Amino acid sequence: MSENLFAEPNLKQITVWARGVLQNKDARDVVVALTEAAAQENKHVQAWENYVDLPDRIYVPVRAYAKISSDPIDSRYVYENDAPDIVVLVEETLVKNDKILKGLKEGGILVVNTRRSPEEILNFLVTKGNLGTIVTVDANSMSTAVVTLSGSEGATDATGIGGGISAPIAGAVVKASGIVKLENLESVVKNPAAMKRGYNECRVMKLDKIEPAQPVKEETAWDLLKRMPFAGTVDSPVSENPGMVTGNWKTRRPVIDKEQCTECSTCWIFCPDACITRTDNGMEFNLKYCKGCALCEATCPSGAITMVPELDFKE
Amino acid sequence: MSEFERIPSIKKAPDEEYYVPGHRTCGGCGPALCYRLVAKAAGPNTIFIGPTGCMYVANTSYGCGPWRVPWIHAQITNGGGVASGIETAYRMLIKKGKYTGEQPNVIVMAGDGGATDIGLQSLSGMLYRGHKVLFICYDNESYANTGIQVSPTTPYGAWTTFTPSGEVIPEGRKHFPKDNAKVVAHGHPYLKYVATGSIGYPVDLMNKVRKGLAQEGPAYLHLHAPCPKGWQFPPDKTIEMAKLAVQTGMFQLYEFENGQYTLSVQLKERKPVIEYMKHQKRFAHLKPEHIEKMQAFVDAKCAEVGITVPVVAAAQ
Repeated sequence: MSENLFAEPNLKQITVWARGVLQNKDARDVVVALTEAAAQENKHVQAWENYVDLPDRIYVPVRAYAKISSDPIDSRYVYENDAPDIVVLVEETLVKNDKILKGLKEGGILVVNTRRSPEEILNFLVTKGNLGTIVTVDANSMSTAVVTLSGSEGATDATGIGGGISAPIAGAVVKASGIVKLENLESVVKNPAAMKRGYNECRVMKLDKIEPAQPVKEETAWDLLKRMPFAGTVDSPVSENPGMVTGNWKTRRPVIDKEQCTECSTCWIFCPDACITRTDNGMEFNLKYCKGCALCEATCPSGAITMVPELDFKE
Repeated sequence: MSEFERIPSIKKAPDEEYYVPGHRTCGGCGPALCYRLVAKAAGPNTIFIGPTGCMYVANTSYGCGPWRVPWIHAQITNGGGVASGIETAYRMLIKKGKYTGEQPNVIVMAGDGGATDIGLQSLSGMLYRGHKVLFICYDNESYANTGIQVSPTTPYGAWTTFTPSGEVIPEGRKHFPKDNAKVVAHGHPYLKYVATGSIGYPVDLMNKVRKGLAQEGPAYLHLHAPCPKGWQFPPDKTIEMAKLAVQTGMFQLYEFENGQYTLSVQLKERKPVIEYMKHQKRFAHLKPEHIEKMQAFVDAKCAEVGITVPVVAAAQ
């Protein structure tokens, strides 16, 4: 048995998930704040955004990453975190996404920005594999999200680090993991008071038993190569494009009151995603692709459509 | 011009979708709704040319697309050129009896970069040569795909990553926008039809697509497509922004044929431009003198096409 030449035993990986455009800045700030604090402790650090998720679109799940190590980081050109120690969700409905805990190290930590309890969040997890600790922090009650394009995609950031909901979220990460010293994080964030509230008021729950992660069959490069279209030509879809399923973008879903609906077709004509179908049974919503933009609710002349939070539904 | 079937109302619009669910555009994306309405109006015998822009990148990530009809990517510089080639190829194949189907609708869906800036020469060449192509600009008033940089159609006073507000230029964007419908309308002898459309007025938009396709030569359609990311308004306000743009005169809806403007909506009065601008964070830094400058510019643009109704502020 040969030694793993790629092993980096002292490397910690942090993966932060958020919603595109509206939370891109706060996701980036969580990893930048934590790595800047770690750099003050003479750690080797890296903070970056997942290029595959860019350009970000409103509500699309996006990822920001951090690497922190006491050794030089050999894997610095690997552009995605393959085995996170800590996973952070800047928005609670991301908990329904089956990809969030992918590759989590044994006993890993999940930090969620939510008003809900750790027990409640645990119920929504598609897989709990390797999860050791779950932490909830109501960051939205401690600070206000910074929605800005300043600093996105390489542009200069003129707004400072850790002024929004990133501060209490980073505080909760430190409480659960001790990955950096609190005073070092305090010195880098723009809103230290909110950061400390996140540290003090977050709820930490250790799981009694760590379930082993189920191995997932990964597509190899050869599998992908075989699927590559000839000369860039692909077949046209007929009724939907299964290559880009967007249903997990939504934080709220449309619910229609068919008593109030007059079947005027206004919501149908204004849906950018063609997710409403006119049927004999009235308007039907295609939740597999609906991004939750709420244009249907906003344009309905009879108030028949209501956007309901995604976590009000188990499925 | 050949006959075409007019869509009488939203309710009677065709059910068939040719721009189907499954694309990586923003929640509440105005350009995506443009695409859906254009595809719905054009129908199955259509080929789309997509110069680089959001409607190329967001729709084709990764290795798939949402079009039920053929679509081809063109460089941002050459939407008009690629369309000219496709239109001519079909015309000659039919003439020589090598293709027995009907001549397809050839539609370019270019952003404001691909239509009014980097791609303008190729659009002009296509119009000048008289190809039977409908060239559509979905105008979201910035280079949105690369992260909201200024474009020629970015309005005066709008924040973009290239026109931030500062001490020297407090309004951010200091130029007034290029009016591409008028740029192309005058000076292309074979151009048959020019019109503007808005996603806030979907029946009018779809009928203009059909009328453009019914021409015996080139047609140009300029569509106003609000962008919640770039203009910084909530995604559920996309339609409200589109309607307010028309109701304030910020965007004028008309057809231009035989040297005459025909207005598409009869406004009884215009709302002040602030009613439109106040919802968008890209204008949040403006001072009253900048709003006045914008109002004067919009008044003049409206007068140009024959919108003469007075500006009336809403009662408090």
